[in-house]
Formats: sequence, structure tokens, C-alpha cells
Amino acid sequence: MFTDEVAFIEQLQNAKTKEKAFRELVATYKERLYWHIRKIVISHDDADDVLQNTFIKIFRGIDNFKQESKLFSWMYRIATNESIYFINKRAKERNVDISDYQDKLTSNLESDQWFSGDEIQVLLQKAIATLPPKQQMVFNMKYFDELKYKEIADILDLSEGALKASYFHAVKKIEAFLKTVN
Amino acid sequence: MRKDLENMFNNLDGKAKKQQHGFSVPTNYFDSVEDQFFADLATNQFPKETGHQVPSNYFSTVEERLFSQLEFAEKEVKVISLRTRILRYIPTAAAASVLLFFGLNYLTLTNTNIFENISSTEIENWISEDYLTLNPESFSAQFVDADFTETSLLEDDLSLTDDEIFDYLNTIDNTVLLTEIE
Repeated sequence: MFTDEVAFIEQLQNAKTKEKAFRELVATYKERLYWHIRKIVISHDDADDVLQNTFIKIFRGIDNFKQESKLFSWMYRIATNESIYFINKRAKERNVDISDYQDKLTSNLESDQWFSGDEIQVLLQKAIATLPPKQQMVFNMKYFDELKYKEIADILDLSEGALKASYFHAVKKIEAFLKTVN
Repeated sequence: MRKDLENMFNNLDGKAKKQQHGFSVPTNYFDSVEDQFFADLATNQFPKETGHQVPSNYFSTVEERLFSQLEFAEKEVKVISLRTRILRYIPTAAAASVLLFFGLNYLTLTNTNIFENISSTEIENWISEDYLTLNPESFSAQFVDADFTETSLLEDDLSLTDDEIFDYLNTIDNTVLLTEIE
């Protein structure tokens, strides 16, 4: 978060100050964007690739950023799009549906060296994988990232009313999934 | 008493309706408040951690790897101006045009019109000035498979009819023919 976002964006768009400002931007947002991406693509290696691509897109696109939304929302949107593009591409490469691909990712969680969750955490990840992609993102951003509906609405370009309904449906489905397996 | 002041005193005395307190809520707020309550109630049972881990020092190394890629990416998208590109191809285009010009105007004519453009006098001069070095033996050596007998020349190659021979004899100067017979 930057106190004077307009001035900071000017630094990002100025060739002389761009690199320094961009280093500051990466330092500030790398972890938040990483965890947002990781929750969508699941694997650490994939999340790392998508994070790199996300920052490259941000770097190249910052000159054309019109400030119609907050910088943070714009970056989150790029990270979301890159993550969705990535898992779509992986699913196509394996000739499977995107939901089948995500099911497969979560079914291997216990053997992932970069996952140390307990049984309920594994179940929660499996439950999230059963949701439609948009509900997954709404749930992750609201529940784990604790973003406000207004912020999620800016990122996903949805109305707050639709988001609340989507979140409610997501929670109900997860709850039902957990009750079924228990 | 002014109307607004009168309303204020009524509020203080509890005489006014509650809706006159001046506060308001977002549109459709009460439609979703129950859903939000039950969603919060359900998520209280969910774990707040995902269980995902990252390698140690991952976030301290991610920036350097990113910036090395950015430098590479910037080199990759180096802009080459149209003017520079055109100037680079001008010498090649000029050379190709010159070759094409000479090719069309000289080489083609030489190949197709060479015998039409040479007069009989020029050929005779060329032979009389001893440019033709072939003697009858060397000439016949070039055509070892050919049969130059008088019969073959008359029967196969010339294949003249009697009428054509009589027409020829009628058109030529008889003195020349008599000289050759002598």
C-alpha cells in the first residue's frame, strides 16, 4: 500500500525512476500475489512461474495503466488472469477438463513436498477444487485473503451483490462436501 | 422555530420515528445479511491456513530471478525503427534491381534472338577471317552418330517433292547452275 499512489504510479511510468519504483512494488506485493496465485495453481513450481509472468506483465503494462482502478486491484487482476490461463493451458496439454485437472492436483497434495497441511486442510483444498473457477476465486479472496467485497468486485469486475451470493454458495458447497466426507 | 431544529429536538425526545436518524444502508443490504451470517458461521469451522509451504529463502531470491528475466525480456522486445529496417534493405534491393534489369534486357535477348540478329554477311565474314577452326574431320568427329550420306540427306532430311524441285529450278539463274555442274 502506498500513501500517495498517484505519485508512485508516475514513478513507475517514468523511465528514469521505473526500475527503483518497480523494485519497491515487487517487494511490497510479491508475497500477497504469490499466495493468491498459489491457491489457484496449487503447485509451488507453477505458482513461481505464474508469479514471474505476472510481474513481467505488470512491468510491461504499467506504462499503459490508466488508473481506472487501484494499482493493487489491477495487479491482482493480472495475477488472476495469468493463473487461469496457466491452468487452462495445463488442462489442454493433458487433454482433460479444467475441473478434472484441479481434482488431480488436490488429490496429490499429501505427496507434495511443499504442502504440510493436516487432514482438514487437505479436505478443505479438495472441497475448494470442486467449486466452479469463479466461486473458487471469490472464496479464496474473501476467506483467506480477507479482501473486502468492494476490492474483489474491482478485481473480478463483478457486482458486490453477485459476489456475496457467489461466496454464500461456495461456503454452502464446501460445508456440504466436508459433511459428506466426515 | 426552524423545521430542521424542530426535527432534531423531536429526535432527542424520542418522538420521531427511528427511520429519521439519518443513517442508511447499501441497497439490498438486508437481503444478503442472513446469508452472510450463516456463511460466517460455517467458515468458523474451516481451517484458516491452507497448508501450502514455500522453500526457505524463496521470497528473498524471487526478486533477483525476476529482474534477470526482465532485463532479458526488455532485450527481447527491443524496438527496431521502420526507417532503420528500410535503410538496411535498400542496398540489397538496388543490387537485385540492377541484376533484374540486365537479366531481362541482355541475357534473355542473347538466348532467344542470337541467330535472328546475325546477318548472313556477318557469318560469312566470320568464316572468311578464319575464326572457324573446324576442318571437315573435326566437324565429323563432333557428330559420330550422324550419317551424312547423300542418300540420307536427300531422302530423310530434305524430303523434297518433285514439284518443289522443279519450282526451285525454274526460279534460279540457270547460269549459276551450269557453272556448278561444270
